Amino acid sequence: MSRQPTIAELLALRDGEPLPAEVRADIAADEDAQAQLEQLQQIRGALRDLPDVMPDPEVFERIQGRLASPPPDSGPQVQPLFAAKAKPEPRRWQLRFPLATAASVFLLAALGSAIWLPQMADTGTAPGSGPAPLVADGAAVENAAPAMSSSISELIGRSQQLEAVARLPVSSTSEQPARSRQALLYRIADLDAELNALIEEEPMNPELKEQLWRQRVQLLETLVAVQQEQMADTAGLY
Amino acid sequence: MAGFADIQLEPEIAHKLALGDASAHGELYRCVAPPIMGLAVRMLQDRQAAQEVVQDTFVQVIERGGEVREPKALIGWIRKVAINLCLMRLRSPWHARRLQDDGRPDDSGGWLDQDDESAASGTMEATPDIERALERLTPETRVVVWLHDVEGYTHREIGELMGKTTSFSKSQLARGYEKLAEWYQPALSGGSQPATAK
Repeated sequence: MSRQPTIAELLALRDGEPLPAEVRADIAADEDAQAQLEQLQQIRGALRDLPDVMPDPEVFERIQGRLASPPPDSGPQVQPLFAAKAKPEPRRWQLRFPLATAASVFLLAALGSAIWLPQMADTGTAPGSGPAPLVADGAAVENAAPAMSSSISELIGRSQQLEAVARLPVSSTSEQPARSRQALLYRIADLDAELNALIEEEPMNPELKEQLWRQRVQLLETLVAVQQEQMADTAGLY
Repeated sequence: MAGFADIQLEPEIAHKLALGDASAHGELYRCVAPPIMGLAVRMLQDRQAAQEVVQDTFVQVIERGGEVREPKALIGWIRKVAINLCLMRLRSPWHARRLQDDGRPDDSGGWLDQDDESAASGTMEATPDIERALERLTPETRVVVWLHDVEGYTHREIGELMGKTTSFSKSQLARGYEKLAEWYQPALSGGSQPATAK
């Protein structure tokens, strides 16, 4: 008595992969299996018939914008591969998210003020009326900007701390911080993609790696600040 | 059938690209942007992220286009760049976070951590729309189905691309087809009906 073939076996048969003769015989003798095989072929046909998709018209303009601005020190001289790749990054960021760039700069400045100003001379601020704490649940995020001498491992550790904080749920009531947060998430995703690419490259460029991790830490700090602002706005409504 | 296989790129375009001639950019974009976008939309299920992949792919190709002069090899290389950029985004936990912020249901911490069963659980009515059925698969499964059945990658190649084994790719394909066979019913509309991508 023959057994019911599995989908994996039917797919193997459909794709011309090696299959034991008895399994082939079972499928050939089983009408249900034949119908299933036909269905698998139909699905593949439908997937292959899916049309291409047109990007929005402005995508090509954005590409041209990115290509049109040459690196400041571009020239006939041969540049290190990673330096050449890294330099256009700020332009790309600014071109893609000009508003978010401005917001990030502002928020970084605000963040720095929130942390450093209370530590300066006593200005008479009443207890509890100062800036909201940077992170919730006592997570250790103490400095707005890591020291320039931070090693990569320190940056990675700090990045992980901030990432844990940034993952806290944020209720959304204010559109502006939500948009800033979204733009930051896009940028962080881009950085992650670059770090992934860097990890796959041999040999690694430690300077670029540190630079990317530093950018990631800064963006995460801004993200946490944006989330704080959003939570403060939400709390103010109730 | 759409996709990279149908691209007809004039050798002159590849030659101009190799020489750094910007007049080739428009023609190259016209040829490769729709298939890149189609690939990225199906893999990522996120139109905005797919457009970023189109941009990043194209910029990489222009910046390093001189390395490949033969049109067929150039198209193959472009596809590989686009697939790698899609996979990088899918690996990033921030991609999942973006979907969450867009109000999409996936709140996993990145595709590698995703609980496949929970993500693809629940019932879905059968549909004549293969696009909708594909969208419902988990990212890993969807990528394997797409790379294997549409792009023609072997299980071994997919395993290498995704940092997994060949049998992982086979099992994901089988899992994907179990779901697609359940969800996709072309007979409901009297035939297979490609849907408009999101």
